[in-house]
Amino acid sequence: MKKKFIFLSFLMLWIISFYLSSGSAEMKDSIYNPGLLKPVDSTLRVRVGKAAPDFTLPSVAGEKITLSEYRGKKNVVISFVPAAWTPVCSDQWPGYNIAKKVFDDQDALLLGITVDNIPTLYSWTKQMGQLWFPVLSDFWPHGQVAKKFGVLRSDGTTERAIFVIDKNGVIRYIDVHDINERPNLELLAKELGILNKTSQ
Amino acid sequence: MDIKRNFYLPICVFIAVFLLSSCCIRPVCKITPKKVGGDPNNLMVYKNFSEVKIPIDSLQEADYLGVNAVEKDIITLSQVKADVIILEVFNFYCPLCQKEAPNVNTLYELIQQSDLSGKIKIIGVGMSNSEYEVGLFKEKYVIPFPLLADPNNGFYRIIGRVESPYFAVLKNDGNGNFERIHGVERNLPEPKDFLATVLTVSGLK
Repeated sequence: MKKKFIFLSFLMLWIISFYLSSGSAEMKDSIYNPGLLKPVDSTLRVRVGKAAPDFTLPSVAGEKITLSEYRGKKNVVISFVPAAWTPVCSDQWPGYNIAKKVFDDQDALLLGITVDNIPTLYSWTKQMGQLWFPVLSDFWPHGQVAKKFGVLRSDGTTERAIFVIDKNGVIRYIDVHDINERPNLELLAKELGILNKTSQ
Repeated sequence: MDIKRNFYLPICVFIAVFLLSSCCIRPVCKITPKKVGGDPNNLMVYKNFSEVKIPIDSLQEADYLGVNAVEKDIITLSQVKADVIILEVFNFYCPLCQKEAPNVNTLYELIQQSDLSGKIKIIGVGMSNSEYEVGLFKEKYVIPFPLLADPNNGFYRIIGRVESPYFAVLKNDGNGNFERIHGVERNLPEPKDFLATVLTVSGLK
């Protein structure tokens, strides 16, 4: 009976410690604060009116997403965010997640990209709820796609940048935003509206 | 008997720690008073709840708040005909606020279906949010009560640093002066339980 008691006690302690450690992922302190960063730390390699560089990246859902597959079908919005588990990034996509209508209304698809690996992106996006848009990993070769667009920062993260690409694969809007601030969703919606009007 | 007690003791400890940690470990969205956009000419900094400005979006909203106003009129909180106002502080980008939105709608329905509909009103404030973002939030969750945009964190001075969502219970002193008598951070309790708390703290019960 004594052995059973000791075993049970250890089992309980293990379950408690496991629960506490797994729960800590949801704690407020799980978001790492890097402090105020240099607003922009890269040089664009693309510009409005030119074709967007094509790419294929793995998504958190396990698919391979190729930009050119949307040509002739959908407008595409690419949202680069600097890194998982950091401020601003951690609430930018949850906002987009409840703004699906804004993208649907303009026949646009959103692609979220970071340079984090898939397991990190899986854990990070899971606590945002069920995201309706694909989240892609530009982890390896590290930041290759970000480099093509010219938004890879010197520390290996990306800019907080938005690219709007029309159905012909042409870049129509670029916002390389101050990394410390959230881009204006209303402005993006307006740009999408203009894009849809001119393409009709 | 001792053996039985020794056997059940760790189980009791486990349950106690489990319940305690369930209460303590919650994700949060901090609202900090930094400038995030909005109209720079519209830097409203309130000194008290009563002077909070509420733009009227529709006649239904005016009717709900018990004021004689038309669309696009701006009233102050002190004009709202209510004994108690539940102020929901949210942020469009906060996952927890998104999760709580349907529960706040349930709270609204509970109040409207009771004899408290003329006494308790709910008003939401989108701190750090533009009117556009607040409009999207309202549309997404089909929110039936008025929501205000607070792009420049004008509420910060009266609410202080809070973690959203935040629910402030404001009581009318009878002269249109509303004072905070209760506040709940992060997760809203069960709407029925929260309403019972509101009734108790406000003395409406």
